[in-house]
Amino acid sequence: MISRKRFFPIFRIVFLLSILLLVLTACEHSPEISPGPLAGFSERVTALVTTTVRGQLRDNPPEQKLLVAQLPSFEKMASMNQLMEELKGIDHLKNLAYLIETDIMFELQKPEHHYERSNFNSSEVQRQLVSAILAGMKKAIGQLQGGKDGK
Amino acid sequence: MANKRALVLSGGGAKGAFTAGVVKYLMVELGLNFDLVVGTSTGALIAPLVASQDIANLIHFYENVEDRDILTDRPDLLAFLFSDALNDTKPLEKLIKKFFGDRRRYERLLQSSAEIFVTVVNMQTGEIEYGNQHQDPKPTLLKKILASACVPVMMPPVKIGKCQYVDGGVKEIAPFSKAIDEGATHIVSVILSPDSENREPIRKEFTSSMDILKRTLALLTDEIVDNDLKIATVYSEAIRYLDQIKANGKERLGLTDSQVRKLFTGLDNPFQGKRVVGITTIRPDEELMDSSLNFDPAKMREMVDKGYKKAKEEK
Repeated sequence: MISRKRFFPIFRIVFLLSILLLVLTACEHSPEISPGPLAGFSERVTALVTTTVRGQLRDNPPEQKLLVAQLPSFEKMASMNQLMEELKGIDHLKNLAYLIETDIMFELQKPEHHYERSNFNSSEVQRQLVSAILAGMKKAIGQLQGGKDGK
Repeated sequence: MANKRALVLSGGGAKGAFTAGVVKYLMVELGLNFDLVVGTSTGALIAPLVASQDIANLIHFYENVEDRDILTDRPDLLAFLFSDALNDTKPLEKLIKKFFGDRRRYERLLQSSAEIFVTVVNMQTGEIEYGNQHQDPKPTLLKKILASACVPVMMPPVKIGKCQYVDGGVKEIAPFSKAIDEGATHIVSVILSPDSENREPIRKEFTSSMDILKRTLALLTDEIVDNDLKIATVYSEAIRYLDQIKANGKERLGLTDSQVRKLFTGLDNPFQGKRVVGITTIRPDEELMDSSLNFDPAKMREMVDKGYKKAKEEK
């Protein structure tokens, strides 16, 4: 028969091992936080525009400042065309306008964006586009300047 | 023979963000389309999105994914002793299901005119196998995409049927041979490490066994990539050389077609049925990051921009 004195160390080891196992199990748990795919037209336009703006303005603080300064006036635009014309009117940002237009045309030609394609000139789609472009611009600037919109 | 343009995407973990930038330039700005997309490891995650022309989601994926979305740590010692890998890939499995498993998104992949091939290595046979949207049922293809990204020891093998599968990069990091076998006439390849001339020596002493293991794996990886590219290039150069010999025989020696054919009769032609393939390679000028398993969104955004810029320069 095992004496009490002998039994205690074994019990302690088993106890410690079970605690360790519990801790390890807890460590392996990870909450569901991974990004999901973008479903809507606006979200996708924003993603493309963000990358375009960021790529064009990286290492170019003067142009970043220029774009930031223009954002309030861009907010007033009612259509994508108006916004692009404004952008093309600014010498240093002209190229950006053409690239953003390319992004939008690329996304628009996809079969799932049939509604946006057929109603392209409607004020609803145009408003949607303007806010998607502006969201992309702000996000890109936020990422470049490490601000709160940078995520 | 019809032209067939292939995109060959190499492995490289988080460095796949560079590929995302390259692809954005090629497909959105240049308007290029591909008939064939062959990817290993991180390239296997990119291939379905390229085939579906879903560049917005490709960028979104690489700009937002973090370490915790790919792997969960298993404590080192216990993992070594009692399991098949140091990390668990459950988060990556979930991510793959989210991005590729959805019915509508998968249908787009099936309807795409671009054929995808993702490379995996069968641990039992030691052979390279491929996952394809038309040859494999959806659950198998999703498992192969996951397996293609599973670096052995770091991540567990994926079981399909009775076999275990791991990262295709164990044998072929830049899968040129599959693109050539599938009849590609022009290949655009994205390789995620600089060429040998631009590789910086590491000026530190490796003291821990883990550091030595990581450095050894990096050297092996570079060697495999160099060989993948070399084999593909040598193939085309050899075919060009043979064609030139035949042309010279006719022009300079006045040989007829049948005389030229006789010259080669009885010889085993290792290039039978193969054709010259134009290869354009886009790769970074310098090492993009130390560890390819470091999914840091800020660094990855920087790599997306680098890839975009590099592709533009190579145009």
